[in-house]
Amino acid sequence: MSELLQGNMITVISGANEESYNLEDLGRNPTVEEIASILADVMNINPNAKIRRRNPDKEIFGDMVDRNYRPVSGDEIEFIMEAGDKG
Amino acid sequence: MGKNKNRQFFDFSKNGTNKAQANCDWYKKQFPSIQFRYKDKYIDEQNAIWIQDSDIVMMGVDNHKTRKLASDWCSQLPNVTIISGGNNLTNGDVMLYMRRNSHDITPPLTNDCHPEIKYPQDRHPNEIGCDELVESVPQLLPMNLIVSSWMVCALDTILAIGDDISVNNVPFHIQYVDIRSGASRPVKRD
Repeated sequence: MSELLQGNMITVISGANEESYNLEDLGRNPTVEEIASILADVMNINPNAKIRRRNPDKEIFGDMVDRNYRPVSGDEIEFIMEAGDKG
Repeated sequence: MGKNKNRQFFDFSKNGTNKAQANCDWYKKQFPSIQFRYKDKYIDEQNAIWIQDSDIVMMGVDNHKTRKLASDWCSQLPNVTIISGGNNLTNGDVMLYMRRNSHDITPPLTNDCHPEIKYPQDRHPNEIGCDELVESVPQLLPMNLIVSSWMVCALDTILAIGDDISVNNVPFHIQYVDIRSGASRPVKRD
């Protein structure tokens, strides 16, 4: 039963921040572009960010994905924050 | 005198003094046993040669063109360390680019994760005319302080590891910080 309750969890990362979300709370099989739009303000996501995927259970350790990629359970999706442009 | 004059700590009593010279003069008074020198020019393609083998570069520039220039120059050096800090209003990062024995042990600043540095769209300071008014963007003191502190932390760690530093024990490739959430996250890109 506990496995059923865990659902399809993904981790969304932007800069220093990372949060876990249930995929079903982010839409109906959402793309990373749609996820970025939903979480843009909450997680300070740049809509033009490069996107990197990790899923250790599936032996994925840092693949770049395009904006149409649809995350699966266990994915860690990083919207790579641009280097700070002030010094 | 510089668009960020109100964020400088060094002595401006000598009005018109170049910022690098003023900073150098201040540090000489504070630490008379240490040798300090200044360069009164922005680093560019002609003078990047100032960065030499085995140098450690603490870089706090405000444009990606200079970051790319420094990274590209250093990619030719057998041994070098760049510790590059940058920030936005409430978040920032410290990036490490290290080479030892002609091998990258961290990715260059121009790696594929950072197209803003690899293909910079901003302007080098030398491309900004003397009479062009440059608006100073607001910054927060705690953000500047935490990025500079992380730069010094990185330097201390690298010096502590010493000659044994390698791909396996380098502290991070990039350290992200966010002063609103209180989060910091070290990252190593595979």
